[in-house]
Amino acid sequence: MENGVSRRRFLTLTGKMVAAGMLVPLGSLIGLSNGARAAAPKTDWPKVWEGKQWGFVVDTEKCIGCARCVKACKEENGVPMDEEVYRTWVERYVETGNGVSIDSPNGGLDFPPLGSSTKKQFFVPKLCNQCENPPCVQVCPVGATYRTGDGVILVDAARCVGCRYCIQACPYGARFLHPKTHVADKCNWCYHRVSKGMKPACVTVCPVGARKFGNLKDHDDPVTEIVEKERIRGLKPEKGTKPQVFYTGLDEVVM
Amino acid sequence: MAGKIKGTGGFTQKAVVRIGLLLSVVVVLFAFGRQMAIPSSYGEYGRYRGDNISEVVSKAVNYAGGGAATCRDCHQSQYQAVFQKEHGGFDCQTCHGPAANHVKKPKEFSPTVKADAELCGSCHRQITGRDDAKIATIRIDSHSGGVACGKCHNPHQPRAGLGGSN
Repeated sequence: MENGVSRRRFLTLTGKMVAAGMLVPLGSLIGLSNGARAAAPKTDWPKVWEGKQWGFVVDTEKCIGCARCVKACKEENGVPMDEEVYRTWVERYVETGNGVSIDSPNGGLDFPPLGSSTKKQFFVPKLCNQCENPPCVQVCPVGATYRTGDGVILVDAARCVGCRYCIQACPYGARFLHPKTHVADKCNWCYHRVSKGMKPACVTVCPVGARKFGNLKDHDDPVTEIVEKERIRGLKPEKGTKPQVFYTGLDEVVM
Repeated sequence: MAGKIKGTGGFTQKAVVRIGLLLSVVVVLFAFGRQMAIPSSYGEYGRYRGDNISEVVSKAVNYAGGGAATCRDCHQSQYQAVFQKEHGGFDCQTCHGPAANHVKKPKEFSPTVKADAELCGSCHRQITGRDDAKIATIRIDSHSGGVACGKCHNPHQPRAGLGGSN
């Protein structure tokens, strides 16, 4: 009472002032974000995606296991060369007397000669299947991974908290924690290239044409033709993920 | 009415006003915090940050697009040499490495390539799984002992045999 303001009156006034003070920045923030949205020249993505559905075909009969794709992928996407992480890799299947031996040393860059085998032996390139029903997207707790309208799963490196839940959820082992950025990373079919009309880096460098990339909504596209007319198989159909990488000439032992 | 004490009636009651004010402060604080925590473009197209699409798309390209035709304009003779032969269907960058910077600034950036046993061996080394019917394979140790392939072979004219490096 000595100062002429009671404690009660002081608290009430302070409360009111804080409340009023909060309203001002809140209002301006809403206004600002709306304003910024209108001002910046933004791409209308749904329009870009219209009539596009990317698809990938791997012809395992053609693959010679040279792993130029593995090297090119790393160089294109900033994946460290000397780390054992890969956006795409090549597996070697060799049928032996007692079962199938599968190896992919350094992602397929360092295949040792191995002993010769007269039985079935072949290479299988692997990459993200860009599933139509992606478990990785479903489990992400922060909305850092998503499927675009043209069918590619992207990772928002700025939003990812590196919890690795998506790495666990992927049935194909396509995801990894990037050793430099410490966030989830994986093949995105070189989205930065394909949206500029180029082919993914691995498709570009494949010397035997074992990797093909195209628009499944374009019926004249060679990839669409293969998917529509040839015998194709996606990996692990029992998982219900609807993979969008289609394999031709794939042996039944391949998982 | 007579027994009613001043300030105890309905919504004008002091306690109700105070709680109301407190509640509004909480609501405003929550709204403010939410606004700060959620990026402005979140939810634009779905449960993700819409701006991220542009961020991914704007990443730098290292391998130039357009295939061997991109290189043809400047490297006519090499293109003609390689075009008809076994390596003709290749993108030049399969062996020469990423060249997007070279296409943009040819004088500042040059892809380097060594026609050594490691490069050629990635396709032509004999390993289990590599079918000799699909690709010519050799045992490097007994074939050349690891000498650079370009010493004898011309990779642009592979079947022309011993043409030397070009």
